[in-house]
This record gives sequence, structure tokens and C-alpha cells, in this order.
Amino acid sequence: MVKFRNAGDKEKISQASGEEKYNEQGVRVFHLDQQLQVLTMENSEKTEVVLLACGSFNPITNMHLRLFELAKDYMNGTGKYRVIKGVISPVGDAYKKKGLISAHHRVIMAELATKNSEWVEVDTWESLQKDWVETLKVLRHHQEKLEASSCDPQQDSPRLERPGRKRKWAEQRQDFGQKELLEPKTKDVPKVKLLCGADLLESFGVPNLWKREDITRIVGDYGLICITRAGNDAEKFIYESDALWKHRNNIHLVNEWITNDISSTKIRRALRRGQSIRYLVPDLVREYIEKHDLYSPESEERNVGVVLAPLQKNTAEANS
Amino acid sequence: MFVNGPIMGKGSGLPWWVWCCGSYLDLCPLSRKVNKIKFLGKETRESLCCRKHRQILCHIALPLEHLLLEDSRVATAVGVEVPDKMKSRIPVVLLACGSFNPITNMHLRLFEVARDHLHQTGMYKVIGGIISPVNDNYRKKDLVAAHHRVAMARLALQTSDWIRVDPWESEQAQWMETVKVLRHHHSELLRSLPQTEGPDHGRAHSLAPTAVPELKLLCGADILKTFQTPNLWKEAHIQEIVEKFGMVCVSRTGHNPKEYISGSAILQRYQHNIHLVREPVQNELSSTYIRRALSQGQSVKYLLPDAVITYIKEHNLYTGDSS
Repeated sequence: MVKFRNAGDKEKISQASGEEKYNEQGVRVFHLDQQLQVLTMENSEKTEVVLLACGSFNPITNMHLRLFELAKDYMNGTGKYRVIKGVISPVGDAYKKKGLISAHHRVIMAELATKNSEWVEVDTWESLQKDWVETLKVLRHHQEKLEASSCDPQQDSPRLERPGRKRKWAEQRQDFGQKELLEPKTKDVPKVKLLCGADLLESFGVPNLWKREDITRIVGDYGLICITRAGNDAEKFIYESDALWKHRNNIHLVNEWITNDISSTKIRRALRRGQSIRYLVPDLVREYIEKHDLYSPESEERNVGVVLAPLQKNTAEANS
Repeated sequence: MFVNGPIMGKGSGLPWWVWCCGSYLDLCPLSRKVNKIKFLGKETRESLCCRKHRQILCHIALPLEHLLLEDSRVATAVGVEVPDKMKSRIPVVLLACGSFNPITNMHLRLFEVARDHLHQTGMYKVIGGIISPVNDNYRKKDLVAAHHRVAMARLALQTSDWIRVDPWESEQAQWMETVKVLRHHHSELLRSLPQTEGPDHGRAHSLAPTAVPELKLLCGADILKTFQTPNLWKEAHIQEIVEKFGMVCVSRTGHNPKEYISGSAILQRYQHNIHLVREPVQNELSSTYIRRALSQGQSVKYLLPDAVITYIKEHNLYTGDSS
């Protein structure tokens, strides 16, 4: 029986094993198999996670950027994950949402917004596709990309240098086996997870917006991190859906304690009314919008009367 | 997009600069530049002049033929005299007092939202903003040294062309009541009045000699509630603030400012001088939240300017160690 002195380790252990036994002295002790499990967890790499946010980003706001920060703090705080990258994937023009301006501008604004970020970046793959791409396919694309690059021994995925227990363990491991570090094949590939707000979670209920199989695959194969103010509503929503409930361990609800209601819709409305959007979006984005006069009553009329791409596609497939 | 209106012509009695070149021109009170007016929207004719300062100069819902260049008043066309309102707008400086411990994007939003609101009333033009961090002797819990709070505010305002931080209050020997800070800045403002206007398109744009700048207290609507707290404010001071200066109160979730006003005789009497502004973007961001997040090692990026975050890290502020 091994006694663990470090309080932090004890927390992780109870997370991992979920079973606690105490000896006469009141010290937590574990059975052998549980110890092995714990040791494996401590010594192995935490699951590396890439956060993928899909959306219109029309325009990108400080709230979008906050989603990443909140999700990273949460996932890293569980002790089981290590967030290594954030990806913003603006939707293509073929989505046909009302008021959606050209992907070209939206991508540039997202890049300006993440200019000062060390870990969040923009990916243009989705926006460059001719047809609208289902979110599941975007997730798949990014996961495959990660798998392809992890076969390459020269990994260039950005790692966050975070001091702490993990590095101490890593240093101790070096004493035991240098070999492990040189064999990236044994290391797990980072996992892509979908980052979103509660609105996306609840949009699962909109008829014909999502394919049922897609939802199941998204939460089953990948995972969802949902930043929400109204945690209770989101939990209820998960409870009421068999598909979501089955994979509830793969759905992480992160509570946003302070309301930060900076929606793109409000930004566009403020711009039409000549109101200031300063401090709601990054300064570079604001200047870009002003310089190119991006949002107006005319731009808001785009795609009016046009059916949203997923609705069109799913309805057509249902009828075929 | 310009409108060549047959109604608006030489004989219409409007100032010459309105119909010049067959299009509508208007004066931006901040840049003092004459700009062409853009008309937006189908039902509403909003004229947005001078994109830089985002001045809405008229906001009218009328068929195009009846369009009249008059700020924020619905009027029919010909026959109605158009006063030269643009130039007689009251200049206003907004003063925000508080701990700013630390300054956040929410504080900065207050200014932007207040300015937009005052401009849209058609009666004011905001010519400046002042952030006045409170004195250390206020002795509020977790208050970091004034020189840090001033430095952080300065960093936050680096990119602002109309708001500045003034350390006067923080440099005094003791804490002083808000009304005294208002009095100080008001006299400073009067002392620094410009004598003449710069070269412009004619005398029509010069500042009316009677337009004395007003200093208004900018705050969250929750301050109105604190007026009710016994012994927190002196009655005479409350009166002076709303009577002589005026307030601009930006609403925050959970507060009903109209209630606070109707619950107080003084506030009711001077309610015309208390401008209630609704912030459409609900934001519960507070310095308290920032301090807690920082002490727990959580990210506060995008809640306050990057330069302020860097300063906090460099000086090890708000780490959670008791001071």
C-alpha cells in the first residue's frame, strides 16, 4: 500500500479510481490495480486537447475569444487534459445565413483578433470549401490533420510551457527512461473537441438543422465543451436527449459566472446605428470594420429569403 | 448615397451648408469637419456623419420627401424653422470616479455607451472623458496602491483619443468626497476653455459664446442606489451633484434605476439631469471578478486591455496574497 503525501495527487486519485478505502490510521490506501491505474495516469501524458470553434464569426467578438480562455482554464483544471491549441474555423459563405458577409473578411477579422494570442489560431479550410460543410466533417478534418502530423517525429504543435507538477514528473521520468520521450508513436494523438456556447447545444433540437447521426458522432467520437451561463438549462437539455445523455461524460459544461453578452448580432446592430463597439471587439477588428465599412443595413439583408444550407440539405435528403 | 431633394433648396431657409452641392452636409461637433451625410435604412433616416466620431446628427422616421435636417426631432418639411442646433449643443465632459481596481473593459464601455447616448439626445456633444481613481485612504478592501491603479488606467487609455486619467484625486493627502472632485475638475475645465475656434467653413460653426461645458458624473446605475445608504453620502452633496453637475448612469443587470429615482425626492426633482442609459450588451464584468480570477490563476484575457494584464503580471498584483 502506498501512501501519497501530496494533497493534489490525492485529488487526482479519487478522480481516477473513485474508490477510497482508509486504514486504521485514517490514511487513504488503494488496492494494487488502482495504484497502477493512478501511477499510469500520473506518468502518462494528460490527454492533449485541441479546441475547435465553428461558427459565423460575423464579426468575431471578445466573447468568442473568452470562450477559449474559459474552456482552457476548465479543461486544464480537471487535471486530465492539457489544451494545446485553439482553432477558429469560420463557416463558408455557402452557409447562407442572413447577414453573413464574405468569408474573406471574416477570416481576416478573426486573424486580427488572434494576432496577440499564443495558442488560438484561425483555420480557413472550412471557409474555402465551395459547399457548406457539416460540423462533423470539420471535426473529422482537423482530427485527421492532427493524426497525420503526429506520425511525423518532428512535432511542431505548440506546447504551452506550464510549470508545475507535470514538468516535475516529466523530469523524473527522464531518469527512468529517455527512450519514452524519443518514441512519439507511443504517445496519444491530441483530441479535437468542439467548443461552443449553449446556443449551439440547444440548436441540436432544431428540426433538420443537424443530422441525428452527426450529433451522436460529435459527442461520441469527439466531445463537446459548452460554455454556458444557465448551466441548469443545458443539463436539462442533455438529460432530455438520449444521444447526449449516453455521451454525457464527453460533454463538458463550463459555467460562465459573469454574463458577457457580446453577440455578433448586437455588434452589427450597434454598427448600423452608429453606436460604438469599442472594447467589445479587439481594436484591430473594429478598425478593420470601419475601414472597409463592412456592416450596414444592406449587408444585413444578404441571404434574406434564402434557406439556410443545413436545412436545405437535410430536408432534401429526408425527401429523397 | 446622397439625396437631391427638391424640397431642400436655396429657398428652404436652411443654412447654406445644408444644401451645398445638392447633397446634405453636416458638421461633426468633435472634428469640426463638414461631412456629407449618408442615409441608412429604408424606414428610418439616420444620418451618420463623420465615421470617426460616430455622430448621429439626426434620427428621423419620415418619408424621404419630408426629411429635414434637424437633430432628433420629427418634423415636417417646409415651413418649419430649423434652428442651428448643431452648434448650440452643450459640450460635456464625463467624469468617472471609482476604485478602478483594476480598470476593465466594462469601465471603458461606460464612456462609449454614455457618449453615444448623450449625442443621440441631440442636446449634447461629449468633448472629453476623465477617469479619476480613488485615493488610497478610501481604505477599501484589496485596494492596490494608487500609483498602480493610475498606471493601469493610463495603459488602458493609450489608444483612446478622448478619455484620459487624472491622478489628482489619488494624490491628495486624504480621501475626498465625490462632489469635491467634481468641483475641482469643473473649475479646471472652465479655466482651460478655448478662446476661439479653429478655421472653419464660415462663422456658422463657431462655438456659441453661451455654451459653457458641463461636467457630468458618469457611473453605473447602482450608484443611485447607494444614495439611499445612510451616512454614505451627505444630502447636500447629492443635491449638488444632480443639480449643479448632472449624472449619466449606465444600467447594470439587477438594478432598476427608475425605482431609485422615484424613491428619492431630490433625485426626482432633478431627474432631467440624471441621464439613464441602457447598455444593450449586458455585461456583469466587475473588478471583483477580475481579482478573483487572477488570484485563482485563471485567464482574464479579453476582459481588460492586454497592456493592463501585462502590467498586473509584471508587478505581481492581485495574486491573492493578503496585503
